[in-house]
Amino acid sequence: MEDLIATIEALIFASDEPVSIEEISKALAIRVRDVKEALDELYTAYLDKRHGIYLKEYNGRYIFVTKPEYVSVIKEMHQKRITRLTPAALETLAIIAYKQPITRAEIEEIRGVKAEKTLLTLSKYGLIEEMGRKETIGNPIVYGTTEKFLEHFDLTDLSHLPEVLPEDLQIVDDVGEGSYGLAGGEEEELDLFGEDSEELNED
Amino acid sequence: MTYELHLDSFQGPLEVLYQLVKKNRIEISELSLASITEQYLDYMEKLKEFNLELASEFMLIATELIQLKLRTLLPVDKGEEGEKEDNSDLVRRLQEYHYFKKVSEILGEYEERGSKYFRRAIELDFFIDEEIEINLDLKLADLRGAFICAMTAYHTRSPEEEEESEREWKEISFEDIRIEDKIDFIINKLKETASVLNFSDLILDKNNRLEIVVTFLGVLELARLAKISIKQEKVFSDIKIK
Repeated sequence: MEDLIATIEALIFASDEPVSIEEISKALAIRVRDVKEALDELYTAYLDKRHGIYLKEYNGRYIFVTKPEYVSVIKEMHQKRITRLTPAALETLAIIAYKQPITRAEIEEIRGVKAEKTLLTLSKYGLIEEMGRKETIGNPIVYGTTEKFLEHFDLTDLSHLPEVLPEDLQIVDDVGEGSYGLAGGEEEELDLFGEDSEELNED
Repeated sequence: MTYELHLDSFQGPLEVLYQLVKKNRIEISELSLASITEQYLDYMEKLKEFNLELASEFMLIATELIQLKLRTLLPVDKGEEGEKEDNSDLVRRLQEYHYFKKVSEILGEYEERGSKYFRRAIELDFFIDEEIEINLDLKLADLRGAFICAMTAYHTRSPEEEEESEREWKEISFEDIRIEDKIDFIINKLKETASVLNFSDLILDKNNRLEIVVTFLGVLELARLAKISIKQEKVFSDIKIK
């Protein structure tokens, strides 16, 4: 068993992309159940405080990542740039995540604005991809989220997408202004041309 | 027209309505939306200097709002209208808009959380094939020479060369390709083929741009007349014709 755990550790470490249980099972010619068992042990072993990295699962695929508590030192020494999406990009992505596969026209119907540029940016960052075409007039392209999307939002899989409860949808009690908040004076201009004309900010 | 540049990040008419709902702290319902119709119209008033396309989208929602407003002002005739249109389309859209606003706020927090993990950095050199590494072991003078050569190449052509290129230009002539002829050609070709025909099979001379365009127009016309059906798997792939 120990040998198996070490072998799987090596396999995952050597890969640039998350490795699936099936891939490991095939490569080592062992049962999926045994792989899962070994992965569990490997996961637990790395939770130990002596390790700065641990095993993370995205959609049944595993990869080693640094532990969140070391984010600031890593950022400082390695000059890591972190990509943060603008509200407009986030909203578009949320719609795609919940309604996939979805066409551009359907997204635009919900958002009330053109989505072409946002879709291009999201594709460029590998957060969404074309999933084929819809069988309607014009055969429009349908979009869906990628595994990189799961990683970007720290989601194990799509079933972990956030749910909004009806009580959180009350506007009247919703005093928290958020990024769109518009409290105060009658004469205040609606802030529609926010500072975020760039789709992505990096900090 | 600098506004054009902003179009995509601009939040649009639904956002305006949403902001007004939040500002007035009201529920999303027909009655409450009707009550902010004036505010919305005021906003549109300021918008007049915007381009037409944008204004028309605002107008669409304005008409729906006015319709809601009218319904609240007119006495309800239960017999006819009843409660049929309980929730108007605008209410439904705005509720959905609000839902995704909330979701994206949570996703924003998730993003923050997700930005705290780093994968092992990938060694880029590992992927670069040795053969495509460019040998830049040359003197500055060589580079300068090559640059001058490239920049002046056009001007240093001999008169014969010039004349020849002139002649080449004159040789290009437009053939008269008529859509009617192409349509007949496509139909005949389809009769010969039992199964599916590729668009590329219809082009006799691949370098003749006019022929490609006319053939394409012919295909579109036939599709419009429902005489053929066309399908393209993905962008730039061959068009299949039946």
